[in-house]
Amino acid sequence: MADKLTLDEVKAMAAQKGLPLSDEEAARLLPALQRSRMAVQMLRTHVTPGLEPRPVFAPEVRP
Amino acid sequence: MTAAGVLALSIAELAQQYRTGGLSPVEVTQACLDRIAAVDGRLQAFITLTADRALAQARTAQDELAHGVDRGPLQGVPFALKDLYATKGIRTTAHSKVLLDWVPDADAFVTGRLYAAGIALLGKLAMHEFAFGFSGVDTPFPPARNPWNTECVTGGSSSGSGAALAGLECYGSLGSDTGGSIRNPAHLCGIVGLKPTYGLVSRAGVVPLSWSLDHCGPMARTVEDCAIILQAIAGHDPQDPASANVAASDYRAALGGSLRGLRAAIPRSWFGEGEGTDPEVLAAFDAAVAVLVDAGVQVHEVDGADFEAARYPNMTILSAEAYSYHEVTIRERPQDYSAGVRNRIREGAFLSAADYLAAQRARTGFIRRIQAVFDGADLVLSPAGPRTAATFEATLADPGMANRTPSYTNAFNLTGLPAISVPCGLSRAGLPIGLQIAGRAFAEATVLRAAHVYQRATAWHTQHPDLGV
Repeated sequence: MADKLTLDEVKAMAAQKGLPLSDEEAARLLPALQRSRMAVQMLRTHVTPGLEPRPVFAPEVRP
Repeated sequence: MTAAGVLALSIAELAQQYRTGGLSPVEVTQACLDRIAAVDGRLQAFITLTADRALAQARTAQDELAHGVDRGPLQGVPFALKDLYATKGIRTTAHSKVLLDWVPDADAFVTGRLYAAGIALLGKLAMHEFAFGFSGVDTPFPPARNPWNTECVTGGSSSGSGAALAGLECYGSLGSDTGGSIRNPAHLCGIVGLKPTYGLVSRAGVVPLSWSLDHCGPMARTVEDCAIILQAIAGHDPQDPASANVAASDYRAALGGSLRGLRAAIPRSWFGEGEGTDPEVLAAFDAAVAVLVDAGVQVHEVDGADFEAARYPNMTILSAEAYSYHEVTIRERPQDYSAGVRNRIREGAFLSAADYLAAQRARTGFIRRIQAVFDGADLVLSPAGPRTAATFEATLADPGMANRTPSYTNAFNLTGLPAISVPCGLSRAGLPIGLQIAGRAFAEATVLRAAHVYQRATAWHTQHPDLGV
């Protein structure tokens, strides 16, 4: 599991990004950020050394 | 024919009526405007009504048909657009206060294609704010309501398209789909919605949510109508950097073939993800599969793990790209977003470049593995959604529900593969259920053919909600 974020961490990070948050806004954002961090952790388990991002996404066409 | 009978016709049937003199574009357009006047106070599908334009376009279509100018089956058909398609001279808001006064000076590529095909534009439709929100209560327009039960949500983000079609207010619409926004409202409102292959339909002039996941596509009441609309909007557009330079097929002509010999994969372990899928939905899905098997499709089960996990890179890519698009505005005018969308956009600010690239690298792997499923199958079948429509009250009380049930749609945004939702049942409470059929890249003709054969063998698409008028 991802490390738990605290409200103070959320507010500090938001301020760094130029997005000052009230206590209420930070509290509302916290569970979503927790989910987002978990999603990143989950997707990272699917990243293997040979994989590259696609500069412009295009679906693969197979015959 | 009764007024209700006229409103329930398909585009294909309407086109035939226009050409045999049974009905005229002006009288049908007026019938839609009357219907909107009668029911839209309850459905709230329309944000902007363009009645004068619709009637003028219908008159033009009528005159042209009378003089032998035939633009094809969309000529004179009353149509409505999700309010993120740019319409020259008509306010385009994305259902947000941020764009409340935006009147584009050019049409989206697909708007132009539809005008050229002769549609009569009834107006612009409600949606989830910037295709990213929920059916919010603090947006400048009310949320669209589900015609099968107006206490229930339509699903989104193409909410007004789902409501207007199920409520018989129009015959065709365009939605957009970044994580399921065409197929979710199609599933919950009992209509048909097709997310085409990424790159087949131009996104130029469409308000973006997530550049690498956004798809534009048709919504209608029948598969044949979706094929007709796709025919009009598919094709290369140099103004869209992701537009694929591939020739569009003859989608309507392809509907007629047999399904014999087609192979379909069912990733059944996916259906139990989290809190799982409603038993009524699963029963409707299994019944739909049986219809396809009777039609000649050979089915086999495959592992659902990659379909299930595709939601994680989808979520991260969407979040990062949406934040990038809104970065300046969310800093300068946060109060102009609804609270829910403001929150969701801000999530993206907390992702790093490495997180985004990890998601895009993971995407490459998911594409390879899901494409490998299609090495042994022409189609992938699943429910289009895990539940029938919830009430607004229940949805507002538990906004995280979607994270605890399978997302059947995300995997096909991540891979860019085509997928359709077609009605396959009604719950005991009388709410629609959708079947999702996905296919190989640019194999829309096969996906549409399977859905069309299913629809011809069943009658779910002929049932309409009773709105008492």
